[in-house]
Amino acid sequence: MATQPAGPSIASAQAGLVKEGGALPGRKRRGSAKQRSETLAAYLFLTPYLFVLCLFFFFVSLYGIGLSFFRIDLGFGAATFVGFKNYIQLFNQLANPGLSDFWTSMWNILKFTVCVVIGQTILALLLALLLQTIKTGKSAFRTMFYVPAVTSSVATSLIFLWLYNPNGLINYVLSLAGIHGPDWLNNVFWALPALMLLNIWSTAATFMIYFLAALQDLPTDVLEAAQVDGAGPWQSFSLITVPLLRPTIFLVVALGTIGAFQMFDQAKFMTNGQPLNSTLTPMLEIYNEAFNNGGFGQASAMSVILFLIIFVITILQRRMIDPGAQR
Amino acid sequence: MKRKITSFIPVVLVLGMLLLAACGTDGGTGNTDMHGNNGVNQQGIASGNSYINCPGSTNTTAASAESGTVTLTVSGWTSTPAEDALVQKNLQNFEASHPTIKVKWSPISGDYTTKMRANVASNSVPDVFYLQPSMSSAYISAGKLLNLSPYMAQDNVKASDYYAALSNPFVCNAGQVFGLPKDWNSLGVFYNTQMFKDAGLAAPTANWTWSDLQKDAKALTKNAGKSDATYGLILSADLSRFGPFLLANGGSILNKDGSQVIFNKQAGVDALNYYDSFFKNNTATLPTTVGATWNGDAFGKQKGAMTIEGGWLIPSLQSTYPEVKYDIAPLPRTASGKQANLTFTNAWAASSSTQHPEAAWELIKYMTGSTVQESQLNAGFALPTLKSLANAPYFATHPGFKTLFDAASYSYADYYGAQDSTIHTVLSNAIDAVILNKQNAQSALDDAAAKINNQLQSS
Repeated sequence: MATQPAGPSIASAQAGLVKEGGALPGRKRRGSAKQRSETLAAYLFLTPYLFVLCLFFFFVSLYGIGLSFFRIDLGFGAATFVGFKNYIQLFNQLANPGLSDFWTSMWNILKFTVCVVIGQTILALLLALLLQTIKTGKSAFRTMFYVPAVTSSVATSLIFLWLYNPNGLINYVLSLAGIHGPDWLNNVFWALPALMLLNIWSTAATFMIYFLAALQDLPTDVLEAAQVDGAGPWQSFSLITVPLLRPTIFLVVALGTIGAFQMFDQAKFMTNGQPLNSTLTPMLEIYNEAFNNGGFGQASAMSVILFLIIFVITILQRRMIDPGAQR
Repeated sequence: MKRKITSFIPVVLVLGMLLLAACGTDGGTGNTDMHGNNGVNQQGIASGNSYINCPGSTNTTAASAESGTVTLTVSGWTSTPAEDALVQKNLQNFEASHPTIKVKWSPISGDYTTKMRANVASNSVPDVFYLQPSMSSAYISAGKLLNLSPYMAQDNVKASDYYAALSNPFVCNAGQVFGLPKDWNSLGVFYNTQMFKDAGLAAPTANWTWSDLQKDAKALTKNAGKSDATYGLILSADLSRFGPFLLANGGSILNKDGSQVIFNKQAGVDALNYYDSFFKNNTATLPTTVGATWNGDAFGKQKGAMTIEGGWLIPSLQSTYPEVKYDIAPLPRTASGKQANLTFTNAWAASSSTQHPEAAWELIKYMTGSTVQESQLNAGFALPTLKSLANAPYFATHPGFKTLFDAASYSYADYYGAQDSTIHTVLSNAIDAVILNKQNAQSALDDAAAKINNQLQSS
């Protein structure tokens, strides 16, 4: 879709309307020739990107799917074809998921994704509404809110590593209130929620921009009509604004879900999956399996399963949140 | 992103890196007989490591010296600035004494094993490089390493010149040697002499026992659970610290041929219960609980009176916590007087595809020889792997080093074959589960055994 030059074709259609009907066949031929050359130009402009996309995305994805049918330790000996054995092994582990790192990581990421997506969507919407209503210092606040999104995730992880330290700032503040804070990142119960909080904080800013753009595009006449009809601020928000934001909410939730499912950096950098695998994510497990255990085939099978799960969930979300979109 | 993370790790875990550099992540064959080498007299051939298959084909003869000047690419991981400087100085000394060989030192910062794996996959392995025990099984069996045995035979370097627990991780089951240990360390009980004095305790003796350790830890613990607590002992949930207790108690990680794990037998369960008793009695703490990154960090911050660490803690304390007064005791014995320890070692190895095998061997011979090893000892970085350096003058003035070095006679390599990294992760998690009261010792070890056996069978 994105490759079709929509603008010019509309323009040429309008030009056709102005002309007399008799010239239609000739116009069509001329128009399609023009269209062809425009399409060609578009593809030419896209070539560098398409090349990179094909090489580093499609080729690599297909290669990965292929790898999942082999037992291979890259660089150390030839690959042996094992069919679906890698997948069968993974699904056999479902018999006792507590003993399987992969299914433990799947359960972790499911909890993580649900909390993070809900948290970041609500926070992003609130921040956007806040910015929408603020009159003075709007751009200053927008910059402040956006800082986490442009900070390297390793840097934010490092900051939170200190905040979550048992003698860190968070526990100091808690101790002022008389609460003995936990050792956040080494506590089986708190480690994952601690990473969730960090993730919500650092990703909400990006999605805030999406909401802000959508809010500015909302038709003001509908809101004004609602006001005339006597709707209060809450009613116009929940009955007018939110339904109109549906496409954006879907976009934010879908992107958030995909991003959350692929969480790797904080888990690797801050906890390395510990304590007791409570922060082990599928991406980290895939990395460990491939690069620490040399099981590239098994790791590829895990990635394929992860991809299918994300794919299915995204489709379901589209059905639920944005039913109008599927025509 | 991954690259950023890995290059960041040294920044956060400056001290942790030191530990990594000194011991790698693991060491050698836990269950191999220490004295296995003594019966073998053939030059350059060790008794063999049953956990590592020999490669399908390998060089059986030594290449002769090349004419003209050759350049070797040499890689290792980066360590502390002081240790890096010593490596470079020794490499320069090698160049000076071998005028036809130039050395291009290109150290790898960050995740060494992962980057080397990428090098292997893309066929750009350096001529000579550091080899960790966790890498050796894959590299040796796939024929990625130069067989050093013919060169050792030619130059009269015997495998038995080195301590068996140190050379074993780099030897395949037929006894060919693919790497020579460059240095090593063992574990000891580091104890804070001031805290012992304050508590009115006598210093640990060479023959102290498991129950002595428990009693001392109890006497040294103050305000457990409070924010100003000092604990008797700082322990980590780590197989590389728990291992000596398992082995001293008569347990073992793997069975003889390495096909199954057997650590969940009674000896292992009892050892884990002992290890955990310090936590159940509130006389020990995990380093992270007191806001430290690792055992040595917590010991330096004086959050505890004792900890179990290796010789890498000595230079680290010197540079970061010079005010701490400490001494080193050997690991305690069981009630029946048994002792065990772990060795942490790394080797110099050469690529099988090197264009200059003879020059590569010259470098390995020099870097694992007595001159370089004594320079490392004198700098206080690591222990020498050569038996001939057992009476180096440095030991007379540094009794702590001598204590660590003497463990060579009752040590096992912290290395468990092809599934080494899985075994370390899974068992360390089991230890953690017991310490955190999530499982009892028996069920945690049973679960871990099931998981690892699964992996052993499927590979």
